[in-house]
Amino acid sequence: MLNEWRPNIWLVLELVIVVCVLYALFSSLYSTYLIYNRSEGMELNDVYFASLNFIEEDNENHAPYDSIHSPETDYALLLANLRSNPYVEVVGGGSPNSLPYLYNYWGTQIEIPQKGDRTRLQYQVNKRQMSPDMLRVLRIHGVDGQSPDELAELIAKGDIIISDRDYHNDPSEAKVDDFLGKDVYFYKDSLQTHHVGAIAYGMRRSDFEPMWSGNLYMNINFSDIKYVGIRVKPGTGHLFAESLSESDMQVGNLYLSDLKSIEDMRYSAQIEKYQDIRNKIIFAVFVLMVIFLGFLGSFWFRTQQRASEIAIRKVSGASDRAIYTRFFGEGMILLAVSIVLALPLIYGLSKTEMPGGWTLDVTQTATAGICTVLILAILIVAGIYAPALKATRIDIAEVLKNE
Amino acid sequence: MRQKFNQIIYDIRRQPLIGTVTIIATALSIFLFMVVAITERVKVVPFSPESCRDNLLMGKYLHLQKTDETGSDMSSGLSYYTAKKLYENLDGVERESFMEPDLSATLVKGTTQKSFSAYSRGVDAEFFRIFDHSLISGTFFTDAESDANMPVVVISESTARKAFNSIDCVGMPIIIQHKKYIVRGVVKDSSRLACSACGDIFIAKGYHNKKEDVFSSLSDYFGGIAVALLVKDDSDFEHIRQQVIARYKELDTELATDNWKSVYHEAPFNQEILASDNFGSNWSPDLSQQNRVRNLLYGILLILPAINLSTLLHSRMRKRMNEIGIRRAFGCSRPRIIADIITENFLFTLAGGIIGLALGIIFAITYSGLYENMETAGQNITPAIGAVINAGTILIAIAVCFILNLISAFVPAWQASRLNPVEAINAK
Amino acid sequence: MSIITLSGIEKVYRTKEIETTALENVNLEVNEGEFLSIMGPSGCGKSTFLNIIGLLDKATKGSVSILGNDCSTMSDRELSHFRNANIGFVFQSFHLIPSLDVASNVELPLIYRKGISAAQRRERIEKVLERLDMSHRIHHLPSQLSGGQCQRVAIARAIVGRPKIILADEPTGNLDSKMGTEVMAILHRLNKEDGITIIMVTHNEAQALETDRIVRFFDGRIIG
Repeated sequence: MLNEWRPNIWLVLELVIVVCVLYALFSSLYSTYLIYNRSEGMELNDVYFASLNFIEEDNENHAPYDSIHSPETDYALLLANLRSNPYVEVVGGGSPNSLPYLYNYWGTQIEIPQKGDRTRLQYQVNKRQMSPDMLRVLRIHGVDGQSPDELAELIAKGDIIISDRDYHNDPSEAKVDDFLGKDVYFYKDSLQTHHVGAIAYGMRRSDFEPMWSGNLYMNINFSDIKYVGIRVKPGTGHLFAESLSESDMQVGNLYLSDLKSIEDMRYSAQIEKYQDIRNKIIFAVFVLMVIFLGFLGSFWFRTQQRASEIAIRKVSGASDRAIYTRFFGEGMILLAVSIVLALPLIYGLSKTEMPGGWTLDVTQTATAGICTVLILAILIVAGIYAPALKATRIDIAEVLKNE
Repeated sequence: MRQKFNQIIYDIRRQPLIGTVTIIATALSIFLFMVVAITERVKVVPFSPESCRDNLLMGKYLHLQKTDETGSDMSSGLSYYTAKKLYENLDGVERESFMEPDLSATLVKGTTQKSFSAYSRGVDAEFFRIFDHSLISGTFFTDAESDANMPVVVISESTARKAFNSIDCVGMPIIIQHKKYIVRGVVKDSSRLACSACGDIFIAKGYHNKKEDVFSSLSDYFGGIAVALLVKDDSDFEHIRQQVIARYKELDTELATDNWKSVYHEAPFNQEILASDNFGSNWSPDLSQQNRVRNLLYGILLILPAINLSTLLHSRMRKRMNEIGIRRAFGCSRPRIIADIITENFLFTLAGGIIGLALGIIFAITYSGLYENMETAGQNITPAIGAVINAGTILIAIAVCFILNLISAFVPAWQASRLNPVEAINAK
Repeated sequence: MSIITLSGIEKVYRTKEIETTALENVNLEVNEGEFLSIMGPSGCGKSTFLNIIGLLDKATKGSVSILGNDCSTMSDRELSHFRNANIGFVFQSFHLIPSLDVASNVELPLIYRKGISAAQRRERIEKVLERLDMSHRIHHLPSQLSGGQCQRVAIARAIVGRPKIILADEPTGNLDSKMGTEVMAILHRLNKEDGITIIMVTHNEAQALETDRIVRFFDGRIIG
């Protein structure tokens, strides 16, 4: 082994880089996985959204309203038509900010003034206005086990519902429970109070993003409705989309456009994250292939160079197993040395923030580290296997004759 | 050179595994490097309808801040008023188009039964003189038509087929978001990779006689308009940027009466920034982080295989020690040994490089997932072949091979040159 | 007239543990046109001595002067040029480059020489191969040749650059006696016809006796 110190230095250098790169990739993929795996408290399959448009008065196609007809009656009829569709379960309306998989943030703050000089309780929320039925479309559940129907009734009677968020870095901040059952104000609006009727699960903007702020669900005025959400019976999405006629899509001056399934919205909202994950996996495969090829090439050459040494060992009674052990042992020693050398770098990496702004804790760091080492060990063994096999098959007589 | 080729073939025959591993490692490295490089280049290489990319600048946003203690903040796209104020008639600009920077999803209906969704963009007539959409029937709309906001459109070939089952639809009515327009022309489909110029439907939208011309309130500073600037060949972007900064100062004097000021964010953007997705209405684009990550990636893609190739070359050289000794005996100097090994290895690298480049090009053309982003998911984003295969791509590949060869071959070549000729000649 | 002058040559190999003296105070003059054989048992230092004359190895002490040039102070580049212009080597195991054909092997010294065109090289290669009766094998690889043919190609390579001196290290050691005689005949012809000075290490007493002078080595010294 000492005779090959020079190629070994190269292998170790390569391994140090690869250990760091793989660790960075694995810890980032692992943190992504952890975020992705959080429970949502929502059921987002079999849902469609369409944007709601209005034919303006200056458009030649505008149908003037009379005393009976109004945009509201058009809307009621439009929803009634949709509900009569055999595949539809429930239909609701919402603001642009009520949609999932939308990188919008319409922040506001809810506040409870404290008595005396104490600062008031404040909580930052993403304001999602929707009709009660939209809670049923999105099947938002309460954290205390309330069903979407119960929550819908709450906002129908004027209550607001808030959600927790993912990180509480500042312990002095108000907790979401502090507001439950209280009357709160919105930021800079001390005229009107709102009753917090329940705590529900939050809606993330993407499956790969933690919830940075709480959510606020509240009822919506007709004029603010820009989207219609439709929940269809399980697995009937395709049939539903086919069954829609032009008259389902338009009533009076109101019409629906840009009908999208939740899957399409999720895909386009998360495509860059999917690509990011794909790229990291490809990159990991690449560095692993480099290691595989590196060990394969280097040890193949060693087998050739050491043919006589191996032959003599075999003559002296070394078993195939001993030769394998020796080869694999050499690979593992190189890996161990590289890990020791890479540790300071990895320590630095583990202190760095992951994309998305959080750090891994000790067990998570260890998990990513162990994955790195295990996968590398497997690849190194794989790379050394063919040369080792060749070494065990050396023709002793031939080699010693050439000496 | 022929001798060096023979040498390579001889080497591969004599040590098939080491030769093959060398070529695979090189091909793999060049493949990934080229895929990354092509993906990056497609964002900036000119192709129709954005043949103007090298001379294109775009003003997109305005960011205003209150000068009093509240520090209130407003930022969004431009209105015609601010677009003209900041970007009209700049020195060194050949053409300017006032256009919508983003596509909107619209409901479209032609003579066929079903209405469908398509992406539209409001543009003036000048737009088609900056971006080279190719007309397959009809005409573009005129300045007069766009200035008067006439209900006329230019549509893409595939939109025409969906709406009319034919591209012979010039002069026919088309209903977009329940409003009637007349088709003036049909253009070839454009790839979504042309992020500034693409679209299914181009609606005539001009800026003259608009109510924004009569400036009344702060909200009139904002709108959904951007300005595309076609810069004259011999003008530099910096000269134009300086003029825009001066325009921002003029705007500030106007805003000062209401205690507002503008915040300048490197406008107008060049293609590199436009393609990066790294910009917004209220912050300055900064590509340095992105470039650092990319350079690190390029570095790793080169260094790791280079270390491998270096040990492999070292192995091949160990097998050829007595050849090196003999060459030294017959008068080959040390620098010549180094030069010969590096040249010979370059051919080896090129062999792997050609395989890698070919795979990279095939991959870049067939796998459109490389270019998808939020706006383009599931749409036509195949890059123009010319944007993938061009002199630049090939030059990059050769340069990368050369660098890979240099860093992998230098150490073994240097070691070979330091061999004692006597020991080398007698080596097994 | 002396073409090679070696005085006070000493060669010591050092490793961490041991110091081995390969040559000790060796002095030798070789005249122009002389055919000299060096004899001695294995490990007596004769190959080391030949390598020092061939400027492939440096003496620990002493001076080497060839064709009136003091070679002890030359740089690597100067040594390379000097070897290329003045010295040809013939080895026991031929040392042809296995990946190159006969013509390319012979060409080797010429590609390290400036001011000689491809056509001139070609002409010289053809001439020299013709002289050694190897023209019919010009495009063969070394692996396709017999031992004697290989050594003839090696000699062709040694003389194609028209050197003044040929150093031959047991040129017949790997050949049967018939081929060995052939190779010796060639070397004698080159010595007579071209006036090339030849220094040959050999174990073959009969071959040595045919040469102008025999120098005998024992334990790193010249003994006669």
